[in-house]
Amino acid sequence: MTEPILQIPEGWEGRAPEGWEWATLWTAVEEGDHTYTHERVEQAIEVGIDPRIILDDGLFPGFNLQGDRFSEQIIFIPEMLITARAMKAGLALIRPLLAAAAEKPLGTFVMGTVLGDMHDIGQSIVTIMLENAGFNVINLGTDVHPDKFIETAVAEQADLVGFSALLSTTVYYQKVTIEEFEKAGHRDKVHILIGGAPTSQEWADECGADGWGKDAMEAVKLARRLVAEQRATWDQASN
Amino acid sequence: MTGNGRVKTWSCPPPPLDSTRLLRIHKYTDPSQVRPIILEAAERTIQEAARLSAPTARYVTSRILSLKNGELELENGVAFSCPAFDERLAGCERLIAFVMTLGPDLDAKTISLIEDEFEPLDALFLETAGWLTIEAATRQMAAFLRRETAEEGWRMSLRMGPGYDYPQSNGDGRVRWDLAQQQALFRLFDGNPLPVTLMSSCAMMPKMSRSGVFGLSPAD
Repeated sequence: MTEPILQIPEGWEGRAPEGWEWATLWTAVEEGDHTYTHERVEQAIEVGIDPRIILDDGLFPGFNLQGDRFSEQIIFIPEMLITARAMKAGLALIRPLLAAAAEKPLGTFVMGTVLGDMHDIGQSIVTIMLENAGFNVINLGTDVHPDKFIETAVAEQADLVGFSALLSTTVYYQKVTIEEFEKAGHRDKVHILIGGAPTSQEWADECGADGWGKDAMEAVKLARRLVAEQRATWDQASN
Repeated sequence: MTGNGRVKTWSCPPPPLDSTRLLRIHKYTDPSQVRPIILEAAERTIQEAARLSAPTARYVTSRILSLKNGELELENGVAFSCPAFDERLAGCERLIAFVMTLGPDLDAKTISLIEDEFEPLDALFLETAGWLTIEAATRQMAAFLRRETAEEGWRMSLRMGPGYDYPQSNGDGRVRWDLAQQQALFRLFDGNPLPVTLMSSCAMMPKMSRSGVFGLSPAD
């Protein structure tokens, strides 16, 4: 196990007003101090720092540090949720500004728990982490019929769809839902991720998913990678 | 226990929970190493779970007409099918079916903590506390039924439920009792009002609900 270290954004001083410091915000996000996070982001907006810079230089370092610690199993989901709450306090101020500046989200992600499964909390946590990472997430909630997943993915032009299942009794519907995407002719238009306690990489392979998120942070990493790969393919095709 | 006719009611106060157990589920094995903010959330949500939970169950006993090759036929025309029955319900002459719930309040609060209050840690812990509560309440109900049926000369089997997997004694992996047979289980209650609603997907509402059966065989 290696103790992750804070990745200080290179050259941040050049992107902030003279005398500005981010260290207290990095710590606040890391420790989950949502009150200070809100205040400091408010101050950053007031002094005219670009919202994208506030996000990248101010909020992400603490969030990413906790994500790395989570990956190393130094901290667990509860600590990530405390950090997520602080992150959201800052994002709530920045998101409208990013939207006004026509900044596009990393991608659109349709999320839900499969048919027959009423478990909400796991997919809610994944939703929070994806939103914090910059995705536009459409959360369909629990007990979602395959047709609803398909209909939403088509309507929202989703890049990714995620099926959560917490019960061994309902995990089968992940496979069924993927089959329904195939029947609807929409399978090759989205990346499909699965997750949930009874799932595994083997199950993801068996049911034809594009990836398996063993936890919320892995789901975020996977989503980021798949979207980046997709963009790279588009770029290659357009050159 | 109360009830009219075949369908009976059982309820209990919310069983006491231990925050150490809740924390252990979330991988904290040593409470002294846990941040105060997390310890406080664990304590707070355990109390909240107790306040929001009202464990109650309905149960009904039916006569088993036949059990062969995993096909179980009951007196009232209801039939179940699962290869694990032959072994797990061997010798049983009666079947107790039950549905249990903590009620809707805990579900509603969990959703509100995420959607309205944005307190995801409290939501996570409250859901875990709810799960621990319904597991403990189910054990209490099973103990009650075991005592009650023992007085009538029965020995009660382990719990089974639609949607669950069961190991086969011949080592041929596990077999599943099809979740779709929840519909048949609910039919055993003859349309009596239940505190649990079965959705078309076979999921139960409130979410913190359980269903299942116990077999009864003569004690001698």
